[in-house]
Amino acid sequence: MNIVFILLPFALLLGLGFLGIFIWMVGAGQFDDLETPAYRLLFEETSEETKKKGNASDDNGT
Amino acid sequence: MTTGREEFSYDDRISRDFVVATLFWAVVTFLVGMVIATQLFSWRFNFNIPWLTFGRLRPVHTNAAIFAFSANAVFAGVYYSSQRLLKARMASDILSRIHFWGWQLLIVLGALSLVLGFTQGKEYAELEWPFDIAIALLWVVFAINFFATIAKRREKHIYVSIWFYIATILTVALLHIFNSFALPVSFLKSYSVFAGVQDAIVQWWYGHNAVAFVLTTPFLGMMYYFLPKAAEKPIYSYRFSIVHFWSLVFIYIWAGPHHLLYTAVPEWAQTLGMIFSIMLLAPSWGGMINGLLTLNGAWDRVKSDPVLKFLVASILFYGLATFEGPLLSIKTVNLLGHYTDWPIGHVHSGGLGWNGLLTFGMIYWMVPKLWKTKLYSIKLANVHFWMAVVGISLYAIALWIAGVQQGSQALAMDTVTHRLKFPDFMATITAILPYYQMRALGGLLYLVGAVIGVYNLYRSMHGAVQDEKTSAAPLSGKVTGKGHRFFEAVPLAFTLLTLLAVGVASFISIAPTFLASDRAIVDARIKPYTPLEHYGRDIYLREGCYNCHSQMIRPVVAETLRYGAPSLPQESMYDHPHQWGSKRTGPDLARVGGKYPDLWHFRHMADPRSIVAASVMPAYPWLETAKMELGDLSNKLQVMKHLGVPYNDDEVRTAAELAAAQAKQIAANLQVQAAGQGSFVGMEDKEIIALIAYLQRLGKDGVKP
Amino acid sequence: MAQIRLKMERVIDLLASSTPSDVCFHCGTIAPSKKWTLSESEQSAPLIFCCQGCLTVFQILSARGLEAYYEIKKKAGSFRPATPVGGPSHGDEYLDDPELRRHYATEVSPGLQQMQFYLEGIHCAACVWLIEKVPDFVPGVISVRLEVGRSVVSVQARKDLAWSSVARQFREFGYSPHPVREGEGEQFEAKENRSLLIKVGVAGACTGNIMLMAVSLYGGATGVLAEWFRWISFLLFLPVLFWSALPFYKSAYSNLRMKSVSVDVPIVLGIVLGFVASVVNLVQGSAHIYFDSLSMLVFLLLASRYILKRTGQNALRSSSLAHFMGPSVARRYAGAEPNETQEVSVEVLRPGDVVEVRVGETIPVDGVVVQGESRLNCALLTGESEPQKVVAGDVVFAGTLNEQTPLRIRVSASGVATRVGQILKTIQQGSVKKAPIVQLTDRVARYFVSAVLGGGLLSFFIFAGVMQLGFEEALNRTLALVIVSCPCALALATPLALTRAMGQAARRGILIKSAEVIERIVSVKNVFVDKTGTLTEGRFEVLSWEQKDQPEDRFEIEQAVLELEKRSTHSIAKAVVRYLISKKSGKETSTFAGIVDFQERLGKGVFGRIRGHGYELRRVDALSMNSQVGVYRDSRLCAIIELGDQVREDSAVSIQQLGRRGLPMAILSGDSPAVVKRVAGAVGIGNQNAWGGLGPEQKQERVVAHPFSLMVGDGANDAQALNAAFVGVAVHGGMEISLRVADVYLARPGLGPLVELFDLSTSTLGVIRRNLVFSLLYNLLGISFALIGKVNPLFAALLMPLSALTVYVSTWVGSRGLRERIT
Repeated sequence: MNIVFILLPFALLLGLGFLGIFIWMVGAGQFDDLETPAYRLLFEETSEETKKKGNASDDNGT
Repeated sequence: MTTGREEFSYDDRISRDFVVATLFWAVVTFLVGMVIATQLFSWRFNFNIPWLTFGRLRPVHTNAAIFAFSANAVFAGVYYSSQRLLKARMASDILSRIHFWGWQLLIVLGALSLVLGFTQGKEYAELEWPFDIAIALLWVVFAINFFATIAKRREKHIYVSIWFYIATILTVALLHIFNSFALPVSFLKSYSVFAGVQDAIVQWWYGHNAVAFVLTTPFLGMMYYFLPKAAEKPIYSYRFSIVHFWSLVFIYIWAGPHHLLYTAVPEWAQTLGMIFSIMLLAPSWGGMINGLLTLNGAWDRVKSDPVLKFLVASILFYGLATFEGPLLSIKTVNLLGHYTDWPIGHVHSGGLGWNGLLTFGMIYWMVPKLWKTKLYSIKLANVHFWMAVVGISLYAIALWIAGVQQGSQALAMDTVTHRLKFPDFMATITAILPYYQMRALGGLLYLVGAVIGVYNLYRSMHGAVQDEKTSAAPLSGKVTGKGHRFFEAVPLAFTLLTLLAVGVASFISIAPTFLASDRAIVDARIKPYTPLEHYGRDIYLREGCYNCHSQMIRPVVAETLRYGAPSLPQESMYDHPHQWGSKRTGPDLARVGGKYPDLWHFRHMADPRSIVAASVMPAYPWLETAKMELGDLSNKLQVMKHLGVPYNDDEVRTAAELAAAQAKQIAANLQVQAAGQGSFVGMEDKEIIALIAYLQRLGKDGVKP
Repeated sequence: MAQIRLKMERVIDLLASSTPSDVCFHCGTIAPSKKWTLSESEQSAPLIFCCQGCLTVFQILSARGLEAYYEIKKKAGSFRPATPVGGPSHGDEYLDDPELRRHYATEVSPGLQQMQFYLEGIHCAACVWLIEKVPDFVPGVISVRLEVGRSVVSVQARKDLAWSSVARQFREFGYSPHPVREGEGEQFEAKENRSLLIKVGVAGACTGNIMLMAVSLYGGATGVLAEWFRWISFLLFLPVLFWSALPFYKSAYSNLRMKSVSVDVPIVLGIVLGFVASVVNLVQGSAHIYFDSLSMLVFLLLASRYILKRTGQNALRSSSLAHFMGPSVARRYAGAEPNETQEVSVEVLRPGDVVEVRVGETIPVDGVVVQGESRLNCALLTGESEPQKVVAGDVVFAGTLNEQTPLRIRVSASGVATRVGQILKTIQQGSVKKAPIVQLTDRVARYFVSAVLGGGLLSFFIFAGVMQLGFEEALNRTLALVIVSCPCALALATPLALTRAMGQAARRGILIKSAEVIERIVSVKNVFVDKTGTLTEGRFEVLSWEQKDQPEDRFEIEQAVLELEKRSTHSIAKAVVRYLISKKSGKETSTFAGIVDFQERLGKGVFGRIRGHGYELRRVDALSMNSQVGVYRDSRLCAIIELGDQVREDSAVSIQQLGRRGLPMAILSGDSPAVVKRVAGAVGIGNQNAWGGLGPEQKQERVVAHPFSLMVGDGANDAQALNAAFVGVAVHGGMEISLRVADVYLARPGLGPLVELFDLSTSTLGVIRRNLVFSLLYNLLGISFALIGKVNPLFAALLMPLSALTVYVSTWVGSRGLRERIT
């Protein structure tokens, strides 16, 4: 059962590695707003769609 | 350097390539699945051709399902969704192309090598060492490209799908490298560094986590992207999906031992495996409920939209499979289910249901977007859907029944006479052949459905094809040239690589010390295989006998009566790799040594029906004609010596002569036992003799006084 | 407006399929009887809108080709009830003031600046889509990121961009923007949240891994491996002990320093003693190590406190607190042209500037009237609903409403220097620290600690002395007893219940500023209510029209009065117009062509000749408690109109419900005692409890005189009373100052939510008590097992999550019952 002497450190290495990434991400403010991303996901628009909408409107500059 | 919005375009060609590859390999995988499903209930479909027998085709099917079908689907989903979530083109188009073409080449050559019998004999990781290295390199190429894209993203918030992809890339890299530690003997032959119990634990630590980190986390990531996009509704609780991810990833890597319940693995590891698997039910069902609740208010559209039908069905099968898993890992249930067809039903309700339907749903949604066209026919998509769902249901139900029946008959004891109720193993298999046919029908339905789907999608793949352009503001506010951003991202990728390299290097340095120490205190009765027996074991590996036979007798009265004394951990300590197996379509072979005379084995291998009338085992007539190449036998034993197997030097030097002598002895025995029927002149250098030597040795040492 | 080329085929069938007849097409609220309609093409049904604002936004969206807004909204759904866009409010030019930019804009990188706005009206997924498209319509804007939870959008734009163009675009899309500055408070709070989240993450990761090793040990691992597992779980416990559990040590230490005991004290005791015992056993090789239970305890408690903190914060930030956001706007006379004004933010005004205050606007500063006479409604400032007359030279205060004619005021004080600002400052500095309500759990904890310590010593003697178990075993059992009795469930009981309660209150428009307020509400002994704006509508209404003479010409007289009063802006005139229009069920029949020589004499009333008769409305000296207006035709009194501040319908019902809870009710108001007595009678409060004519100081004294008092109010004059009260409740529509000072803010008008608040609090206390009983039961179970020596790490590892789960389920079940009772 000595394999555990190798498996265990690596499992911990990976698990605590992700904990490190978690702490780095908290610092980078990834968890400040957990509501808007779910909506923002729905609205990726291509340039054509924006342009199509852009020139469709008659009274703005772009 | 202006400040403003950058115009850029997504690399859609790579997504299109992977979508086509996914569809192609889907049909190939399902076809191979159909062939081996048919072989299970009618041996004629092996056609007595070496590269068509079940032993070699099943690894092709399993590896194709993971590396060809699911992996391509994951890459298609990841390349498409990541670029849009990160609002950035892939960091380098070249790396994407290398990754795509390299991966397809790897699949083709890998499948070829398996069919020709070059296998490491480790379930779900049969590919020989050159392919393992190729997979690792291509995975690194993918990782560099992916992390570089994250570094140059234009969207500050990293959506939960990206986190699932990150976890997949990092963990699969570690798993694959860990499970591929092997010492090569020649270009296409190597022996696993681990043996026996160690190898079993590493194998199933890899086996379970391959399922987890190739077939679940990336697909969850894709669900969290494609489901909201298809339903045009935000995910029910984005906050929960974040909690779901982070709670999973801190402790996930411990799973695995639930594949080894009641085997020669220590008790505590089995308990750990069981409890951990039951705990896994919570995050899995949390993810399912989060997905289903997203459709609140959009359920009417599920009726009309095939994409939503596929996605909802896939989430429901995810719930089914992740309920079945923890159930199967409860010890008492496992006692019944292990080595039977029930786990196969569990694997396919997950594989065909969760992975398959999600992939097809995703592709039905992506193709119109990637090719700027409309889906060729909604009706055909619905036909594909219903055929798939009925196919999976037939498949799973058939194997539930077969599994429970075979499992209970195997353990059934007559309480009065304390004898086995079903002593004849073959009878238990013949009884479930109708369910194998039902399973094959289910598989056929799924395959035909898939072909219809592929045709439908192929007809939709025309139209003005060019990369989708869009614009976004760079995070740093500075607009920089394309090249510069790539090099900015490279340090991040290289830190990950160094982490991996350090991990691998430190492993190689510390592993031998621990492994060797395990041997010193061990049972003196156990001796390494003789050179001939070792050659016979290589044939056992080459023909993939572990796909139907197990070598692990569980400490249960019924199995002791049927197969002999329970297997001891030290009995397989010289088996590089271990051959405990996970399915008993054929009886357990752990103590078959000496149970039947050599002639019995000779006749049985040539034509199993001549000995056991109802046998479904393929025939291996070519073993009588193929000559043994004893040339590199001493080379193989030298490698074994490196791995700690106690061969002495002259045994290694004179391996060929020792093998030939033992073979002559066995050939003479056969001649005596045949007593006149059939001549065995010239048989002493044929492979069948080596296989007989190996089979007759199995389980003998453990029962010596 | 160019004829709108609406490519509306998708939107029209959307219309036909879903929206019922009288729902506003844009914001989905029920359109009032007076509707705005727009029909583009003949064959399609006209589109209904609830207000001019919604209609204009619709036209802008369709002109810009953004009809997809309605489809997205229909499919992706909305997370908050929508509000009508409403009429145009002040312009946005004040944003271009360089001084304001220094306050609010920050430089992100050379050539790029950023400003944050609070947007009113964010309610659905399509709002996110629309707002984040602004860069396509305002050149120079680089990126727009909306944060849905706080309805705050951060806009990055080029240095040279005028912020008013961005604000105007938001307003065109129907969201009125208020610039927001990330105060030190918010930054500190964000930093604190993050450090707590990291502690929770560390505790979670370590707990997960320790538990897996503990399961292996319980499963029977032995030998070298078992040693590894024990030592690694020890190493993994260190970060939990020394870092994650810091909040517990800090709060326990501060409690002990104040000689009081909170639930954190037994927790710290359990952790430290448990750690010591486990290390001793670890070193001696015994299997009694408790790292898994202790780290689970830290993780569960930290996680529950983090969630409680975030629920509280989210409640505070919801959209109804718009008043807190951003400066109000004033029109300053620029030196150059004599009567040319320029919109500036109030914060920029200096003493000596002259500002113009139009009709219907609140006076933004303290100052002296330079030119113009008018009437000011000081209800919110002083509480009287009776308007005051001001002429040139009079002193005016910020917060009063100018009702009649535009005024020019020279600024004497602005911002915090104003009288209202002073009140706020005094309150915040000298705000008497409300006696920290000793939470129910802390009171229990006090007995709990002594029980555990006493019990521990006692059992040690029993084990060692009576049962002669030897020092080792005795110490082990005692420590096991202490660890098992560590109050995980006890500490979880309150935060879980409060989190649920805060969440439900917020959903019901009751915003509670801190969780322990809920426990305070239950121990409230008496309730003081402000009159204007709380019990009453807060504005004048006609109570009755008494026809004294010429009944046959009543219809003609009413017409004339309507015609006369429509020309005056006096609040009494507006009340009469509302009354007469509603009497005619909405149809305006203007049969009278012209009015000859109309005069409005300040404080005297109005006069005009219509079709040969001289009509005059004049105040009559108030015989009854209300104010009365006489209607004279050719100087002969023919009718008397009685007016007063009408009582809300639900006030009486709510007062009854509060009365039934045995809470003595009293009214404190700045208005005349007579009016207050009448309102008291109407709502069923005894005359002896109706106090009128009170200044802010008298209100505060009366509240402080009665211990455990709850004060409900909305005006500046209530601020000191709200702050001094045991529980201060600010009502919807109140002054900014009263909202800041109160403990609870009711986002829905009237006293209905107050009753719900009492129900919610009492039942939450019931849930907390039940949780405490469960936790004490578990502790007794644990202690009894410890006494008979049966406690081992596995037992503790099972007891901990089980007790936490029971408390969680009892909270969840408890609050579900609560929801039925409230709705």
